Amino acid sequence: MTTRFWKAPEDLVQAAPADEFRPEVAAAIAELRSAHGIDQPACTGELPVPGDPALLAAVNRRGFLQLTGAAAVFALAACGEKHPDTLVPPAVQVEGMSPGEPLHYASVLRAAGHPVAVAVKTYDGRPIKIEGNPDCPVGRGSADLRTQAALLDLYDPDRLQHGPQQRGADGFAATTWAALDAAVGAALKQGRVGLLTGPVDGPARRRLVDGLVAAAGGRLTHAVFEALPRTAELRARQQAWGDRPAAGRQYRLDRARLLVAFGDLLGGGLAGLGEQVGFGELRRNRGRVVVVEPTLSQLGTCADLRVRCAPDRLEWAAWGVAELVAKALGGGAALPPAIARELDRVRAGDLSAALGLRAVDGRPALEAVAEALVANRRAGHASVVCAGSAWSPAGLHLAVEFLNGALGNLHGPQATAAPAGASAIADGGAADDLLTACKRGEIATLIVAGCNPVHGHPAAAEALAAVKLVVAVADRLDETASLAHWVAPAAHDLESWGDAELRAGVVALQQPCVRPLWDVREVEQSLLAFAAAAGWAGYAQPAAKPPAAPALSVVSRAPLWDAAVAGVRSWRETVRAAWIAQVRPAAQPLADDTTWWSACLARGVVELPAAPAPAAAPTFRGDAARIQPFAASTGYQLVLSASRTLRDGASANNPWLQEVPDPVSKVTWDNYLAISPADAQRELVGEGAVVALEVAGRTIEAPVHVQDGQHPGTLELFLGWGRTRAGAVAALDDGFRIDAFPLFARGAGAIQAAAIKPTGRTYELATTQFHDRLAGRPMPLDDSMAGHELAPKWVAGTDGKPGGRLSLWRTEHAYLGRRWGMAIDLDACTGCNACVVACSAENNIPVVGRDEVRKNRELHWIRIDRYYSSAPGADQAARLDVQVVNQPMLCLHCDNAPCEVVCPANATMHNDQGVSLQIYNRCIGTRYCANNCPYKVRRFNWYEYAKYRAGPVGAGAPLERVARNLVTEGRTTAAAELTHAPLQLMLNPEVTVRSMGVMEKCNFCVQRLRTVRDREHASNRALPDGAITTACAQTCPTRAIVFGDLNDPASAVVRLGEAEGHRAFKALDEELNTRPAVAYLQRRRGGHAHGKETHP
Amino acid sequence: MINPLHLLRRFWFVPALLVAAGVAGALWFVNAFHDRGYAPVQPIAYSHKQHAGDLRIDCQYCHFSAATGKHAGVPPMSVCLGCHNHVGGDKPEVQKLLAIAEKGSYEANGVTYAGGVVHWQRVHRLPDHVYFSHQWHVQGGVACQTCHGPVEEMTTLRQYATLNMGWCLECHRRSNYVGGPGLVAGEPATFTTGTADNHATIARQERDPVVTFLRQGQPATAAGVAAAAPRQLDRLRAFIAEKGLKDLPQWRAADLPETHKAFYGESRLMNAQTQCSTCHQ
Repeated sequence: MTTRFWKAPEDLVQAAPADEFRPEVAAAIAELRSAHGIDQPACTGELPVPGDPALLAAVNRRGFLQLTGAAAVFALAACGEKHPDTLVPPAVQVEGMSPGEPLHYASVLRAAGHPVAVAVKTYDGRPIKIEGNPDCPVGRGSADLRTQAALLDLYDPDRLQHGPQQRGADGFAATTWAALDAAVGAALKQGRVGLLTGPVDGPARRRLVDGLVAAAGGRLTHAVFEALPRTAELRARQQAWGDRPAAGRQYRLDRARLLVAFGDLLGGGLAGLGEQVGFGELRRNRGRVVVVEPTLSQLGTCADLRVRCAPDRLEWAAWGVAELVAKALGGGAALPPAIARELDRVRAGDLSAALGLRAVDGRPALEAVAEALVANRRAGHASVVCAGSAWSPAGLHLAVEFLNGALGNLHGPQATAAPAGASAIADGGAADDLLTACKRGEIATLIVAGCNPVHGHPAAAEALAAVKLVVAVADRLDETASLAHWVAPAAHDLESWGDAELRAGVVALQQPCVRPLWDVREVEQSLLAFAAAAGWAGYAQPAAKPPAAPALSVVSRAPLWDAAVAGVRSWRETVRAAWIAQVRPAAQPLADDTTWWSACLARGVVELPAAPAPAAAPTFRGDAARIQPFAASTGYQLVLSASRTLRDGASANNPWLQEVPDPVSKVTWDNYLAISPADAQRELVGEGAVVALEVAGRTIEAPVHVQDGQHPGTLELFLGWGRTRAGAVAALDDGFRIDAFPLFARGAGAIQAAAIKPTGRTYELATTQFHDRLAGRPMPLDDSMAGHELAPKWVAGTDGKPGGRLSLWRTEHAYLGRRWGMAIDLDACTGCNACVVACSAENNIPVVGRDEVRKNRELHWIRIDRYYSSAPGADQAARLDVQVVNQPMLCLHCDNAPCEVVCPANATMHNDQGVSLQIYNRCIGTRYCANNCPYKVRRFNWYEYAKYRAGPVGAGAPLERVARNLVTEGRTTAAAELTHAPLQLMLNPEVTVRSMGVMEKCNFCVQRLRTVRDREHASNRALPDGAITTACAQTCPTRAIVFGDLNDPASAVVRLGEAEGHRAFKALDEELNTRPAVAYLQRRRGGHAHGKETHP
Repeated sequence: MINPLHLLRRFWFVPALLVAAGVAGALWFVNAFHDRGYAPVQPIAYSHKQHAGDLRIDCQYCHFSAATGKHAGVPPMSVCLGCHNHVGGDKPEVQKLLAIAEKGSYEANGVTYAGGVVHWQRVHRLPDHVYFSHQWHVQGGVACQTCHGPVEEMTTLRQYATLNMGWCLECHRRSNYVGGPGLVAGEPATFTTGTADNHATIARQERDPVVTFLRQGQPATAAGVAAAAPRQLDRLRAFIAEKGLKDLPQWRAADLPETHKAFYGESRLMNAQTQCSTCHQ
């Protein structure tokens, strides 16, 4: 008997579903069958298929002929004239730029919620792809989901386009920068001033804010606003160690062999890019992951040992583990007496049982967790213990600090809790205090720069109303800016100068990669201009040195574009001066200022000698902390988590982020209420049932998603959704717009009692989980599947079967030069979706929208299949303790490709490097290939999706949008293109934009392979292994995807195959003899360093 | 009973017309789907005949990324003005050009064209799905005229070839072409069609006296050249006279005579293809 894997719950009780037909088709088939006396098979068409049957009925034979006739006429008419097209040369050729050749710039993006060093690929001055900066020691060339998607924000048509705005009696009206500066400057001259910003890190940015505070002479109060505050974590650290933490924290998973998390570290949790990169290292070091959590989280899907626990008992589970660890390790680590007393009170013998935790291997769960920690410590390895999110209960953070201290993770050279950059240090309390002061009327002028408190803070709207003058520096008229009196449009990160601190001792420089698309100003430049207008010392351009005459264009004698404001110190110069004054001495450079600055710009990241971690263990002082006594709760507990795709919702208008499936539930485009299968049975609600959620005196209607693995009695709702003023995409009107921030109450309401009541209505969540099922064909996804043959020599062409096998295919491909292949380590994949967005950006993959996703028409070339598994014979109860495997699925580029042999147009074919190509202009859309593909990786263009780039198909008025875009294409001026379709500027010019009726699929980024061939041709030298990679492999933070040349014995992919060949398998190769070029490495369950988990 | 032959004799033009119509239709059909001869009206009546034909300016003087990149490139405005700031100011089309540069934008048919550059109508266009690189063709010695036709005779630029796939394959199917049956790596493609070939350009560059002169061990640094400027120039003239060279050297900014340096300044007028004969005919 082997483990069973399933994608959808019904797979558990029955075989893979039979073919499904639309109701009208099923009826027609039934009629035919009855007319011919054939028995009625099980084609009942019960599934509610969305769509418009009337459309189908309208096209009868006559209509069809009319349509084809018209199409022929239009086709001939279209031949008459060449489509006009314009060539616009540059005025002056930019140095180093050649038309059609990309340039990379090092910069910094903050869309992820923390700064990430990136290398931005630009074509002819347009950024078209974001990649991680390979020189950055934190990201090591990778970039996460939201950083990848930030590109779309730059071209977002909903950004403020027409300069500064002033609110009048009848809405906002455009004004001038001079008027704005004068008005704000006058207001700054008296009264108390509040300044609310996003996280301030990086030497220049810190210096700017410090300078403003000093220049205002004590009148200016600065606070950092974050929608997801770190207050609980920082205060717990202060309580634990007695001093105010000097820096945020970054967990060095790469140094650890064991991760114990009480909640979701990945997903919307604490983790930055550093933790994600570290997770890959942890896996390669054969590290183990233990997760104690109430809901199935993204980290939970990667867990080797997962213990369900009610949300309000998580804290006490952590203390229980702490007690066992302290007892086992002895020494100075002893539990605070108050907590020990409380634990004694809670437990009557077995704490695990008292907390309602399941047994692991017949032992109490907490003992199993503690034993893993102690054994890891005794083996001399480091570990990481962490809470899931920064707003987890303070007691949980305290327990985590205690455990980390007791296990020696806080000191010594191998400390796994390392100081992070200044961006992670902001205490949410300061922003709360400032907004309270606003509400009391103590603040005369409030500047909100680069943050959106009205969406994330329950009291912000009221506070803003009490301030005489509110100035917002924002990129759109968002929730905050729409309440301001003046709005200064802010530049996107890719249009701005700046800097950031990625980790203690690692600073990065941010440089603009494109001239601002609209009439906007950098956030910092606006602050400098306000300060100068207020007459504060040091902000005006010194009179002795008048502004240098702007360089004249050779061509037009008009001044070249200059970001600086006349008479105001330039932000670019401020950054440069701050770096030369502060970073340069620490970096100990050899060159002069100018050379060093140029080198910094080129590399992007500077590493400074960091202060070492304390040599001795600190003393735990958390004894005096007040603890919340344990109270066994009854009824439902609602957990609020940050969205795993949108996080706090700052990029909610980004259709890429809206359309990537949630890593766990695979739901797109909507917020939902996740409930446990046990509760779903009890409440008689199913997937998509709309329930009324009653919490804290409010009632919210939400669609239900039945989440396997969720603890009974737990409900989960996500933050970041339901933004009203983010733009057209976020405000699509046909979905549920649930904003959970009012319940969140700055973290105080992260866990609270709730009740649900079914409303009887249903709503169809757009989920991709049930798409692309592989018809129940088994795959050895983890090493629990004994007896399934693996392919130990998968690199070699014979894959270990020298005798050959019975094959329908007669030809063998000969790959004389390179042969591209890929290995995907299911152990390291966290399902984060960074590869999906990277692929969308690289390959011009359009967004299709909620309705089309419901119809199984999403176009992602790579998807992440999530499989649940359970022991054989397990029933529905298995759904509570599922094990999960994330499997990225893309075109596997089979040697014996089933798709290639059925194409009547030869539109899909193999090339001499092992890539299965799709040739769009040959494709006639029969879709035979998609039907014959056993992996279901082919995507069909049902509409002219590319025309909907400004938003998904279903959004707003699609026809109008298409018409507008068609009109725009005929226009020629850059301004017209920008106004109407800025998103077209984002397209990768190396990749064809597909049109309706064409099949498409992954082609191993053939344009990138082509570029390599050209560069090798030009230089007459073979490029090294790592230089050639696909977009998905390039961005994968955990390096789960490895791409390379299978014919090169030294390539990383071949070496990985040799080292891990014992768990390599090729999906469905044994059954179908497809011989894919992509190999998977099984998920290890029993093969980890410690212990072995069996099914409950 | 009417003899069909009589009918044919009397109405012979009917089948003849039918056949003629069929042939005409077939010809139309074959030619209907490409844009050979497409010659849009350009915002400025730029004449390739004047520049490439009469003045014998090298193609790559303006389209300077043809040998190094995918696109041959439309010359930046600075390349036009490098010369036209000094010459041709009395001609109406050049005056249009100068006005665009001066004003920073221009209007035509009610649309404002921004940027201070000419928005040219594109003539040659390959479909999106075609991967084509100028680099390998130019480096392989394929003349520009092979694909673009006798550009140096065209007052208004027009599309010369069909640019369809069969036309590409006409060459690539031949021996010793990439994709051809008898390809020998490293050997040049051996054909030219059209009216001129690129070998003349390459040969001219190889005969460049300054290149030869500098290869003979003379200092190539700007300082060295400047210090030795008068002497160097004399020697250069002697060298040119001695070799009996007709054409004049391919200059680099550093090699410019002092009298020219102030004139050119930092204007980036010069590029790799600039020769004395570009200006001094």
